[in-house]
Amino acid sequence: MTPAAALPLDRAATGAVAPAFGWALARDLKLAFRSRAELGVQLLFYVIVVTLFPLATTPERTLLANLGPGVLWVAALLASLLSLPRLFAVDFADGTLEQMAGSPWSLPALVSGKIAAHWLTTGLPVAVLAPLLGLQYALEAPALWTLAAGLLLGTPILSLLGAIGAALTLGLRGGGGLLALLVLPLCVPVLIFGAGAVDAVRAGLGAGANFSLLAAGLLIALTGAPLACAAALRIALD
Amino acid sequence: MASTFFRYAAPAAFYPVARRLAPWFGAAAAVLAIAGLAVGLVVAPTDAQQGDAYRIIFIHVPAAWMSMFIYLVMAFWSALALGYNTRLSAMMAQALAPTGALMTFIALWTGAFWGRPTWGTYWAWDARMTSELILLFLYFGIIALRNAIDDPRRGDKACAVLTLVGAVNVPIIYFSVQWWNTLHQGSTISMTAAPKMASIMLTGLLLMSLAAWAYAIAVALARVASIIIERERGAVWISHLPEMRRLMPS
Amino acid sequence: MSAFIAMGGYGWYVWMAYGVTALVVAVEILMLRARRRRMLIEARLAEPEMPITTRATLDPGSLS
Repeated sequence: MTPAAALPLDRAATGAVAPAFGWALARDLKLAFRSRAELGVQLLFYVIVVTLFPLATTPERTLLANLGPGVLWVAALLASLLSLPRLFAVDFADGTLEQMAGSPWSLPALVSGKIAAHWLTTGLPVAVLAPLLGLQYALEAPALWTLAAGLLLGTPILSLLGAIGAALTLGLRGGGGLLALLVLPLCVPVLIFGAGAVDAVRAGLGAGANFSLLAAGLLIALTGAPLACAAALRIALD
Repeated sequence: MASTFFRYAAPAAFYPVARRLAPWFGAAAAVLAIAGLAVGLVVAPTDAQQGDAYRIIFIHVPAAWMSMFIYLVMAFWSALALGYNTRLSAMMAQALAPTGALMTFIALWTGAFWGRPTWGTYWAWDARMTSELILLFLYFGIIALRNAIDDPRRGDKACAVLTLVGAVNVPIIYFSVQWWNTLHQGSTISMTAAPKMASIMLTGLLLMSLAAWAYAIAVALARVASIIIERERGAVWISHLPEMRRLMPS
Repeated sequence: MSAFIAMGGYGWYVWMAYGVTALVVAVEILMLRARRRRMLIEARLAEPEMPITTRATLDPGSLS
């Protein structure tokens, strides 16, 4: 069991946001990079799930093009869920989480750093990979760009909402399934607007409305989720 | 006045109140339901377009309203529980969740059986029913989280946070589902387009809504009484309860 | 009466809706009763011990 991390508290004043965020982000990225294989596995999961749908339905191109945006989005959602239980579990196990909560640093800032690292290692690669997989679904270039842009806006929201779920279910039995049950309904709007953007572009309409709504959702999630997440963590740690 | 009110914030003080009130609300619910069912099933005339199948709305609409209203009340109690750290507020939220889920289920079930004869399908992905289904998932999530947490205080606060996060999300979810629904108009039908309402029908709807409301209060009070017993186990005031003597005289 | 049950041909739908509603409401009430009984029994079993000073046969000589 690795010992609890030492927070470099000398580095900044109490409640300072940026150093806390930066430290948590850098630390989580370093830890994630050490288990690169795990990251690869998550991406592979995404690829496999996306590949399963045509096998289970039809290789017919028009039908696949209609299904594609939805499938690619739902799979992104599932891939994000896959790594969420681990977001706080490891730090919880070795005591780092208690240190973070007890430190004078802002817990929401630390949590934001961890969530950002989660997104960089899960959501961002999926957003980059999805257009390539979109080719499997006979999607054209405009649709593929819209897919990528939508995922870039939407996957951070998934990470933010998922983190709340991970904090609430910290240390509980039934972990991953319970987490999914809590988080998936909350992600429905992201799904609707993200996949809807691609459908709109395919129909010749603009995706402006969809992107505006996704951007608004991202802003709300960015301001609210770290606070809710920090509150949930304190509840779990008490 | 305020001190009298806050006196009842202690579970031990509220318990007898809950026990006394619950049967009265139950009786009210029964009377209102009988009146409402009489109107809905017998007195109200058959609808010209939907035939007698429309009579399902006398259950469907009150259940749908209650499913949303109960969630709002749960959110209210959850906010109190987090803001004032009171146990009873959290217990009230805990008592409401199963009934809220039940109302949501009834709304979905009756909606399906209303939809089949009226629009040809049990389920049609319209905005209201889809949002109702997601609301059911939210209820299940809250109940599942409560069951997964052993420590009651952690359960109180975690469920309170989840309920409030859900409450913020519900309007967003509803808006997004409605938006999604209007885009895919083609095969969609508004499953909740009620027939033109004669005033007797509205009376029936009102009676059944009041019945559902009284029922929910009765059940919530009865459930919170059980929750109080469960959580205050070992407290002296419980051993002095008359029902304890009756249960296992020693 | 049979016209009432037939509900203008829609009997199946109306009574499935009303019937299942009545059923789940009844189930909720029964489960509440059972829960209350169970909680009362558990509370009874969890009652604190009788305080030592009320024991009738307290013999100072037996204490060591």
